[in-house]
Parts: sequence; C-alpha cells; structure tokens
Amino acid sequence: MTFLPHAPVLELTEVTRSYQSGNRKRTVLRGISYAFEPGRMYAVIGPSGSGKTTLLSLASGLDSPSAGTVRFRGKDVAELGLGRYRNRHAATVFQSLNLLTYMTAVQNITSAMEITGVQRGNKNQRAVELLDLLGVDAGDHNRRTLKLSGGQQQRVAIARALACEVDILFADEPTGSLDHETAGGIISVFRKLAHDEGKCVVVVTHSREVAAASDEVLQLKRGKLSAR
Amino acid sequence: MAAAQDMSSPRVRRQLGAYGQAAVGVGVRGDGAMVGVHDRADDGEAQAVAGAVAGDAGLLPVEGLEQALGDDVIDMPPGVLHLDDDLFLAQDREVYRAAGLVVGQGVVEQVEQELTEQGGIAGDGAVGLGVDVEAQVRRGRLRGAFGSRVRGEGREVVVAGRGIGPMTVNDKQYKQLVGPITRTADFATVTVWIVALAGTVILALIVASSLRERRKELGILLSLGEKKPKLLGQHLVEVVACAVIAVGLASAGSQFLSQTIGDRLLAGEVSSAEDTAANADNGPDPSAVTGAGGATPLTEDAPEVEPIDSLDVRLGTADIAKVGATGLGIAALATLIPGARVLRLDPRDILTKGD
Repeated sequence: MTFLPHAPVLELTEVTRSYQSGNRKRTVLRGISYAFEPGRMYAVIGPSGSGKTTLLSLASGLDSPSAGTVRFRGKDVAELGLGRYRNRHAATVFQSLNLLTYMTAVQNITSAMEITGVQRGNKNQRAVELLDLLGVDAGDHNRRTLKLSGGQQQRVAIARALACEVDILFADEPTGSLDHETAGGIISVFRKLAHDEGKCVVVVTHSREVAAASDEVLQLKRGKLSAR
Repeated sequence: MAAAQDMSSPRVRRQLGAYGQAAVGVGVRGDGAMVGVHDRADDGEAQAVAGAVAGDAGLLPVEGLEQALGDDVIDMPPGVLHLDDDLFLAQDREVYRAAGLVVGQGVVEQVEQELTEQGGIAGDGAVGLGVDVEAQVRRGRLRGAFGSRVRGEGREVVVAGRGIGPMTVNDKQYKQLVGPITRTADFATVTVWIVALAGTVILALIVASSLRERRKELGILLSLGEKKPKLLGQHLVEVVACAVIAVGLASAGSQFLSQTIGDRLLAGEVSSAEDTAANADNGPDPSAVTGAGGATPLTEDAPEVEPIDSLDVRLGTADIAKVGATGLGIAALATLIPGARVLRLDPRDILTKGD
C-alpha cells in the first residue's frame, strides 16, 4: 500500500470525550474533526483545562473517545487495536515524563525499542546517539533516571519516543522544564523529524516559541478545535 | 440344623453375631480389632475369640475356633473388653437381655425380619446381624449392633440386641497409647490450615501491594504498547520464581523443623496425658463406656500402658510436590487476580490515577 505525501496519517472525526462524575456528565471534547498530515509539525494550544491532554490521549491511543472515530491511515485505531497502534505507529512524550526510574537512561530507551520491535542491530549505540543529539551528558547515559535532573529526564523521555521510530510523535509540554537554549534544540529536532523524515509531530504546548516553530497551530477552546 | 459357617471368610469375620444356642457377645479391642466372646452354656465361662461365628450346632469350643481361625485368634487382654454377663444367655428364658437391650417375646419376629433384611447371617438354627466394628470404632460410636436368634428345642428365643445399647468397651489403654499423638496430629492439621489460609491472604496482599507500587510501571509499559498478558506473565514469573526458591528452602529445612516441632509438641501432650491419667486414677474411669443395661466396667485389671512418645517424621517427594503445587497455585492466584484488576484499566487511567 502506498500513501500520498499529503494524505492524512491521522484523522479525528466527530470525536467527543465525556467523563462521568457522580450523576454529572462532563464533556471535555465536542465533535472534533481534524486531519493530521505526515511531514508536518502541529502545535495544539489552549488554556489550562481546555482538554489538550485529553485530545493527545485520544489521538495517541491511550484512551478511547466516547463518540467519533480516530483513524490511522484510514483505519479505525479501535479496530487496529489501541495497543498495536501505540506499539507500532504512535509514541508519546508525557508531561510527567513517565520514565522507568529504576533503569538508566540508555536502558529506558533500549527497553522501549525492544517493546516496540525496532529493528536495529545495536540498540545501545542508537540510544547513545539519541541522547547525544538531545544534549544529555555522556556521564548521565548510564545513570538511573531517578538521579537525573528534570531537564535531563525530559531529554531522555524525548529520546525514548524518538527511538521508537513511529509514524506519529505526540509530545505534551516537551519543553516545559527546559531552558531556552535546550528547548530550541528540542524544537529543532522535532522540525527535522517532521520535515526530513516525514513524521507527523503533534505538540501540546503553552510555549510561543514552539507554536511559532510549528507548521500548524491548533487552538482548543471550550471543547472545540480550530486552526489559527 | 445349622448351615455350616465358613469362619475363615473375611466377610463373616468382619461381621458380628450369628451364634448358636450357647450364645455370644461381641466387642472390640482398644486398637479397634474385632473380637468375639461366646459363652459356653455348660459352665458360663466367657471366652474370647476373634470373629466368633457359629451356628447353633456349630458352636465350637475355644480350641476349635482357634484352630479354625488360625492367626486371627486374638488374645483379649483382661480389662480391654468386658461384656455384661447378661449377654450370655440361658436357654430356657423367653426374655433375654443383651448389651442392655431387653427384647420381649412379642418382637421376636420383627427382630428376625430386620436382622435378615440388614444382612444378618442366617443359619438353620441361628440368625445374626453383623456390623463393621472397625468402621464403627473409627466413627467413635460403636454400638452393640448385633443380634441372633436361636432355635432350641422347638422354641424361639432372641439372644442378642439390635444395636441400641452401646457395648461395654474399656478403651482407656488405647487412649493412653494414642491420645497424645492424636492431639498432636489434630494440632498439626489445624496449624496447616491456618498457615495456608493466612499465607494466601498475606501473599495476596503483598502481591497486590507490589502491583500497586508498580502501577505506574505497568502504565508506562502499556503506553509503549506492551501486551497485557505479557505484563501479567512477567509478574507471574517473578512471583513463581520466589515461590520456587521458598519451596526449595522449605523442602530442605522442613524435615528437621517438623521433627523438632513434632517432638516438642508430642512431649507436651505426653506430659499432659500423664497428668490426666494420674488424676484419673483417683476417680472413676471416664473412658469406660457402659451399656444401657448397666454393664460394669472392669478397669481394675487393666494394665497401664505408656503413651507413644516419639514421632518419626518423613518427608516424601509426594509431600513436597503437594506443598509445592499448593504454594505455586496460591502465588499464581495472588498474582493474577489483583494483576487482572490493574490491567483492566487503560494506560491513561493507570498513569493518571498512579499520580
């Protein structure tokens, strides 16, 4: 099967997500429809509590919509299997990082490569390359991530997502705990990933710099998504 | 006249009753073995034989029974079994008492019918009902469930009861012998159950707690697309590996431990039993059960016996396999049940609630 360069890699169709809280039903996302293309970087912005992280969870297969469909290359991810979708096609950099803190930086990356079935001869070498690319000190490569600073952990989390070699990369506030210089480096990596490797990169952010560097900026307000 | 009974038949020997005109009694020894007692009508002297069965024409002298029964003849120690003298019958009475039961003439036919229906051994001159004495003893409710009917000189007489009055059995020696070891075994059984139940609960809580601590890890691995059965299997392997080590250590140490603990427990029970026996010597023997007919327990002649005071604990491969399988089963259940509950959630829920 071949894909047109600008055929959507990910489509949200009338996606709604509601949560039941006691007798009260709270709708976070209301009938969102949008098509994400490969080779582009998207920034999703919006006030706190607007549902950005919920949107990211649905798009990345961590959660299922209450209504509507999420399609990856035309196929409903629910039919594809959320686990398989996450395993083969989508990777997420969480706001809370979610690293395995009893493992080293390199082990976090190589274990993710093992789980997602990345075909690389030398996974350790690839992990080191990614850590170097993201500016993690060589001395920290084999330290347990629990002992790394917040910024270093952020880099490791991003490196882990990059290592999975998926089609779509989601990132929730990836530069939140980084200084400007490092944040600029991360943004540059994301842009290269989209423009040079044809990946689709979706970043949830409050950062103007990230939004400015993105190809598309989407605003989420009162459960509705709109392009700016 | 009486059909000849095959006295060497196991069936016959397991049953009681079926006696001739000289009449009989039955009972058990302290260790549960069956003995029969018959009374020679000529001199009223009670004798003890194993599994005494005789037709009215076939009542043998003790010597004859011994010869017929061979090794099954059991010497009845004095004081172990006592039957009321009323059990042994005279031939010319219409109402007889056996093991405390008075059977009137009017119920003779009923008795005969019941005995026959219940598998009694009937001969021309005798009919008797047998019971499995050993089973009754094991259940702790031996009763004089036997009876026989004798035709003598054209008259019908009932010579034994129907299983209502308890036999007069003095099992003091038996209780002295096995009491401590029985109590030790009871204690061990209760302990095993308590340990197994408590172990299951504790293990389940530990594993559930461990899973709770590793909830975030599970969420992370799920977010990377790891399969739920694989994660559950990983936890199972971890717990089973620990269980295998534990079973190995238990197997290595249990022989020594169980022998030591068993000896100590038994020593305590023996000491307690000796105290009880010493106190009992000063009062009536509670272990002597008397029949409803007022059979007199004869304990004076019973020799004192030493209780069993040593255990030989042996741990076989089957025991280890049984314990190991139980332990692994508990470990597996304790892992799978809470694990399945956690993994039922979406990774987002796990990661969110984990925080």
